[in-house]
Amino acid sequence: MEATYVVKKSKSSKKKKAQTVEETRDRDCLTELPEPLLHNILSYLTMKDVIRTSVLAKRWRYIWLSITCLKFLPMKKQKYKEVGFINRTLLLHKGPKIQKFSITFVYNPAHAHQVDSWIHFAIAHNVNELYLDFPCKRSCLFLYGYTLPHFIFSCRSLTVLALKHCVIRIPINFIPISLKILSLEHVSFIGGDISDLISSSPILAYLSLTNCLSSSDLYLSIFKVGMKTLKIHESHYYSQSSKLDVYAPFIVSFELVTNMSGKNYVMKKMQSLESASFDCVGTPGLQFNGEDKRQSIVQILDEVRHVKELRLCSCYIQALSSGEGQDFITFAVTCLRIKTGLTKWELPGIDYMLKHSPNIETLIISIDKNEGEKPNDKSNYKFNFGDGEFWKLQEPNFLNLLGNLKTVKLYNFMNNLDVRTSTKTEELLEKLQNEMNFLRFLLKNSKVLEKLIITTCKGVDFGKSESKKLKLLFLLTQELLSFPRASRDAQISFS
Amino acid sequence: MSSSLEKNMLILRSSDGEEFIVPEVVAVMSKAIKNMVEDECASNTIPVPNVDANILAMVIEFCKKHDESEAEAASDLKTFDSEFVNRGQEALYDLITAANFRDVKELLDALCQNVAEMIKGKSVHHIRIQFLGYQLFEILTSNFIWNIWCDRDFD
Repeated sequence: MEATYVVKKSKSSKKKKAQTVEETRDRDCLTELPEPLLHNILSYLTMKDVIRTSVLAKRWRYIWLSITCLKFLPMKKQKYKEVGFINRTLLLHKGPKIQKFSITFVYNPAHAHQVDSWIHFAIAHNVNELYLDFPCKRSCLFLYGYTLPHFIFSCRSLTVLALKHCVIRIPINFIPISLKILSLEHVSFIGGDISDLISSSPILAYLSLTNCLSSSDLYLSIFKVGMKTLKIHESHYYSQSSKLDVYAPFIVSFELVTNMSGKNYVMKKMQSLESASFDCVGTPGLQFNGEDKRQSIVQILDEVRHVKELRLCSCYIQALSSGEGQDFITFAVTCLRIKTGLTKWELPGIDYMLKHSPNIETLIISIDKNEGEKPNDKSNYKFNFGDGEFWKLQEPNFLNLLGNLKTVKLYNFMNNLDVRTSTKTEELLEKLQNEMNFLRFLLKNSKVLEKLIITTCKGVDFGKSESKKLKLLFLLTQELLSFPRASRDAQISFS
Repeated sequence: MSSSLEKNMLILRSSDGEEFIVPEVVAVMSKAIKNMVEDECASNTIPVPNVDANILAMVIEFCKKHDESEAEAASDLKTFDSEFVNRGQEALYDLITAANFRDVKELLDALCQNVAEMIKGKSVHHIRIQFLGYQLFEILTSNFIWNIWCDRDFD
């Protein structure tokens, strides 16, 4: 086997030499690249484009036969032609090994055995990464979706498995000893739920669940030492379940994206957690009217108070705002990233985070679009200050705080600015007062600040009035430089 | 080499003898250089054969930009990448071989993706014009049969 391989190789190198002589006339440098690099280039293309390259030059003609990354996307042609195309391509493929096999195929139960055979092909070639997506025209995944064959779970070479729109029948006998990354999206389970799958998989390092939690209450307990990352995304508006328990003592990084549909999230014993990220989707506005929702958010934050890196979205900040004075969580966070606006519903929350995180070194704020929604009137009484005065009122409380804050970054500055409505630069400047007051406060009170980086939002459309933009930026810079600074070494960069 | 300032700096020498002073964090984005640094063979100047000054400067520019930027500025980085790799074929070729030789994964991925982008979604005819330029006619005739087969099946 090896000998034939060597012979082959020497032949091809001879060919290469001949070709380079022949092609010195050309400007076609790219064809001269060594074969692994050509394979790398082709790995970004779908099979359709890959096969097209076979007509480029002699050199390219047979390269597609031995590529190690195969990627199929749905085609516009008739179904039987598409199936035939995939079958023929796999039939012609040469080479003992497939690195990556990715297929997206609009599924219909009549094609079950074909799909099975493709997956079998990949597994017979010791595939490392398998990406399967079988969207189904009918809505009921249980009846018409693709049920994964069980031989997937006995493949020993798999390291990455990503499934979309599939059905998994529990129980399974999980053998892939090298499987590190498992990502599931819109996956349904028959005869069990997600926790059965996790408990039967031996070494996972990364688990991502997108919209595939079952409708009943779920208790997700992960006791695996190697398990580092857990991501849960849920944006199903029809998600019926009321509770999710996560119990994962060895998780290092955790991410939760929810639609805040009233579901109750409980996290326990996340001792080794180092970074946590929380985001909300679908509900950009201020949704914290209910006290129990606020309570559940505070509980979540209480559970992650020991993390070093924390990422929060506006919803969480607002929950802290409306509970000002009632909760006493002290955070150990050193790097805080928040995606928020700077309205008066959010300022008390930011203030709370800054006050209760004594170790904070890096603060990264990404200005979010304000959707203009407001919380109901009941909670409004807490916010009866003018936008501008807030930080001035808070200053006395910060005398000994922010002692470690070294870096502040502000992204998407001017994100909420609507240039079209106001014509004068002064008016625009007036609208940025919230941001400017906050920056003034930070510069005045952080004694060891080293860097302040402000990046303006790319999306702001000044139209034709380029001069207006320049004037605004000039005025902002002028104002920024006039602020008093507590730290002598603070660098400011504004772009 | 005794001063503290030079502690985190490395000197890279290109194939035509030009020297670049680069912070270590930037230089070790190349796995080949990283291995050298870790094995402590990088005492003074690191020679980078096969890569000339022009290309080396480009590679260093790319690595610097990637070292500085944050996750939040991902979109900025993407536009930088796409502008960076948008070059003529010869430069692309040199960059790809340099990135491959020095094992700079990010750069190699960005470049390969760019080349793939040149192929993606185009008809056979257009890819050939883009890749082979003036040699078009010669190949058209030599690949005639093959060509018909391909166009029939995949367009």
